[in-house]
Amino acid sequence: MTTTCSDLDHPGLSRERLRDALEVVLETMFFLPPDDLRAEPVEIPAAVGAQLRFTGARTGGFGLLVSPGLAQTLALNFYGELSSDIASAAEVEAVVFELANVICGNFLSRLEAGDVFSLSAPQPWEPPARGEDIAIAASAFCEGEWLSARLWLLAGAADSASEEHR
Amino acid sequence: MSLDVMLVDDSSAIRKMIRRVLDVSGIPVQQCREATSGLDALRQLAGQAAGPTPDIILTDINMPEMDGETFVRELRRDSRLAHIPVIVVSTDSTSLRRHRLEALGAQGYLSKPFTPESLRDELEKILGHERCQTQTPNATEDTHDDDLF
Repeated sequence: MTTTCSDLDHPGLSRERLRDALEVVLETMFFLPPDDLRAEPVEIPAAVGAQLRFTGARTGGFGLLVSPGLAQTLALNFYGELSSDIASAAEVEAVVFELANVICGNFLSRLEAGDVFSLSAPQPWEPPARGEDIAIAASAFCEGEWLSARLWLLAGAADSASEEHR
Repeated sequence: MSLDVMLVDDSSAIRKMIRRVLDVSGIPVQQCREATSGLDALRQLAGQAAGPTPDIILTDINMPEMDGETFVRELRRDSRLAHIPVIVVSTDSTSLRRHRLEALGAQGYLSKPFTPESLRDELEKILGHERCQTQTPNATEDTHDDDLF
């Protein structure tokens, strides 16, 4: 049986949903409503990054890049610490990993078909491999700094991945 | 009356955040980074004479070695552990996943992103308000992974 994920085949709709996922995750779990949201990638120098793989009706990857200052703020907010505190590099990385996991999961749960996906454990960011073109991107501006999310699909893996998880 | 929570999640960030939230209510949390070690710890506790098993288990779904669905299934197969309520904490908010976990015997489902209030609400919904409010708050205590299984 072939399962299609119609929302992922409509980049405009997908970008909107990724933007919505960014907004709700940042507001709800990190107490940082974005000042600006864009349906496009933003280059972030010296970013703290994370990536993960997802399998299900579609197979692909998700990456998140966060400016270092914003990553620090996100970590402090997530752990409920004072703004004068300093989170360790390991704590910041763990929070960026979790942020990538939650945004990706929230986005995939918004897909029209309601398919069940499995997400891998987040890893440090690496650019997508050849043949994995960025399909969707969205960025958020908070506290004067950017974070940028991007999702890419692995062509031809949809059917086998779909069967595996039914 | 004491209340003990077991938290099974491979994310150190989530473990620390949930532990902080429950610290505010004075609720102690046993942490496990893998479902396999969580299951081993629970079976060991259940085998002891006093049987001090946790009052409730919070578990992630996507974890290495053993996923959350298998973990819940294994808990329900073990007569010594089958009674412990389970709340699944996951980024997956699809009704299909939720129904699958309910069918396996999970009592609660908390979708990420969640607020600290929604976590406490979910615990109260299953354990009752009084059980979640009977301890002395200890919000200033720092949290570590000292008791990690």
